[in-house]
Amino acid sequence: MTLGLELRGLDKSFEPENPVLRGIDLSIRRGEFVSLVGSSGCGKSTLLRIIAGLEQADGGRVAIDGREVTYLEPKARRIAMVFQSYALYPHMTVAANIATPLIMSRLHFLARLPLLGALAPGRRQVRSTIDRAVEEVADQLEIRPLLGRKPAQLSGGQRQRVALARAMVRQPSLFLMDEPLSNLDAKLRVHMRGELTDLHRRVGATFVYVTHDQVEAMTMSDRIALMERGAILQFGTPSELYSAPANLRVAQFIGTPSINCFPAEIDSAGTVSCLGRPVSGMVTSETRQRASLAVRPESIRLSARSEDVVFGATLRRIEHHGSEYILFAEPQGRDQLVRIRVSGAALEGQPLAEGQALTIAFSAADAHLFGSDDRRMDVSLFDAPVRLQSA
Amino acid sequence: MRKFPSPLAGLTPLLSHLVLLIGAAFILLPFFWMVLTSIRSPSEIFSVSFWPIPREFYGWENYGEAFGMVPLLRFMLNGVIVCLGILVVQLLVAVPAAYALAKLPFAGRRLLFALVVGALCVPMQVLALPLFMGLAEFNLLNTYFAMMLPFFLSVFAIFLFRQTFKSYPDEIIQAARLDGFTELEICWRLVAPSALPAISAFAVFSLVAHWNDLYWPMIVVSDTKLAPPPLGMLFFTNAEAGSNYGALMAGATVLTAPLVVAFLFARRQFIQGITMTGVK
Ligand SMILES: Nc1ncnc2c1ncn2[C@@H]1O[C@H](COP(=O)(O)OP(=O)(O)OP(=O)(O)O)[C@@H](O)[C@H]1O
Ligand SMILES: [Mg+2]
Repeated sequence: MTLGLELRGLDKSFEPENPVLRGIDLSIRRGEFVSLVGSSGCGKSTLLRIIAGLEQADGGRVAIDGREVTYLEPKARRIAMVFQSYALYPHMTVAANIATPLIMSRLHFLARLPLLGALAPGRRQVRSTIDRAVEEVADQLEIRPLLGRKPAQLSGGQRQRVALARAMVRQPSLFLMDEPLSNLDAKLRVHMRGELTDLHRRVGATFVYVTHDQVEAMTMSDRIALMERGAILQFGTPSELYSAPANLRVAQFIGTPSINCFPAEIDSAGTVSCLGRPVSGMVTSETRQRASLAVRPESIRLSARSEDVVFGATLRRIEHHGSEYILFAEPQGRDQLVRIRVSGAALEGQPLAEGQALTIAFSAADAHLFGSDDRRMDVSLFDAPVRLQSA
Repeated sequence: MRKFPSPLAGLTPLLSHLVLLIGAAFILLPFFWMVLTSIRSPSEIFSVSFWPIPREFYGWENYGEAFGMVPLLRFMLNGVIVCLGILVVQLLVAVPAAYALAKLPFAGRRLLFALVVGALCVPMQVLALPLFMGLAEFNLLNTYFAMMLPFFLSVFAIFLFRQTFKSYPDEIIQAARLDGFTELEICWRLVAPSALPAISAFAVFSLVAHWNDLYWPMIVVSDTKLAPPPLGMLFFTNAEAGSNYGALMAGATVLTAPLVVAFLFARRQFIQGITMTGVK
């Protein structure tokens, strides 16, 4: 099976001492919806521009649908891109904006000239097929009534649809989108998320979608590539990234509220201890280093079972989120707030007040262990009821 | 506490208008005098009266004489050919150059732009002698081309357009590249139209400057048939009509009129273009 998009060892730096992309490898299947997420400035847009051919990489290869395109011009790559600012041509009508990619690819340079072009043979015929294609796409995105307007006369959401229409009209095999929803208000953003997912199902093309909103990435993608400082930390399905993060920074990036981290040590026997006490039943083959133990807020419980890691803590703050609560608790002797997610049902008949003492616990099976280089460490777990007393 | 407007507040706009009126009067007086002289009889010309209606309307005679003695229309045609020729080539050169300096990455771009800014400081007179000798060498004196050549490359236009193009959104240019626009199409069909105010402001500058230019045509043209308006007027004064001030002013009025009319039409764009480049 050929890949929809294949990147091999892409490097890019604008200033020699400050690389923006460092050896990016990515294999995206045909028809897959892949999100590139990462914090601001990590190189997402640069990577997208290199895929589009708008920027030349310093090294590495790009292949689209099994065709090497590293040195091809943007227009020869058969891709479409939706920009963050939508980048509509301001002086053209919506219809002309959508028609432009087709006019450019189907009419010869001379036939596009302002006056001379009208004389070109066959131009009328080509124009009428283009007009039909434009109307078809406009109907799909429900922007038919807007065709006669200029971009300045449209709302943000309408501009976004026009930009999508302009991308769709040429039926590319690869869609690149650079934060297309970031200029919309929260409600419209959620709505467009659904529409984009539908669109992806309908056209069946490969999508590469840049966002720094992890919720967008988690809800829309088949797979997510999480970038940091020009490198890909992990590439996997949303559930892989959530339940088996390959890197501490992936664990911290994905999930709201974010994951809880506790300092841990590993002794020469490979026994893991957290906050100075051994964690029951957790052993690793890599020994003798500082490490971090990370636990999702929903994996922390307010009642301890025998094999759990247990802390005494003080409840500092309660946030109501409708059906659930986020509790912020300070473990005794530590300057850190632990985030705990509990459902409303679990708290029924157990009223909580800020400042009260809590027992918080998690089981070793729910904890992720990361080494001093932030990489995920393999652990073996066995059931051994050891109780970690609160200090 | 309520603040009452000071009794002087209403006077400030009046005052500023008064100052402007005095300034305008100073600038307009020579024009007024020129038009007035062109319709006065020779006996009245030296009277120092501002009264706009002459005792004896002598306009027909003066204007008739002006048109009869020198080819006024020919001068104007020469002016149009030279000015438009210069403007067209200036735009053809400056718009792509400014686009490249503003938006295309290439080695030496900063150096080139520094040279452009540096060239702004070189007055035309410095180049006059070498240009004259070069044109003489190729037997090009006394041609339209000789009058236009030094102005084909306008570093001022390049500088002005580059500053304006710089603010054109990069993402639109990238979208255009993906859509298959060539760089020249991006430059002429997207970026240049967006800078129309700056381009028309420059066009007015250029047209006025070269319509009124006497220095360079006087150096390279000695043939009356090729003379643009100011040089034509100079020939006029030197020739038989030297002391017929009524006819002379009639000629001057005819030759100034096109610019005044053009400015009145392009006034809004002109002002917009200048204020816009000031802000960016
Ligand atoms: N043309 C350029 N010249 C110099 N540096 C650049 C250029 N384009 C991008 N950079 C730098 O490259 C780095 C990555 O930029 P990029 O736009 O790819 O980030 P991003 O991940 O898209 O961020 P954001 O989420 O804010 O859009 C930044 O540090 C930026 O300053
Ligand atoms: Mg970006």
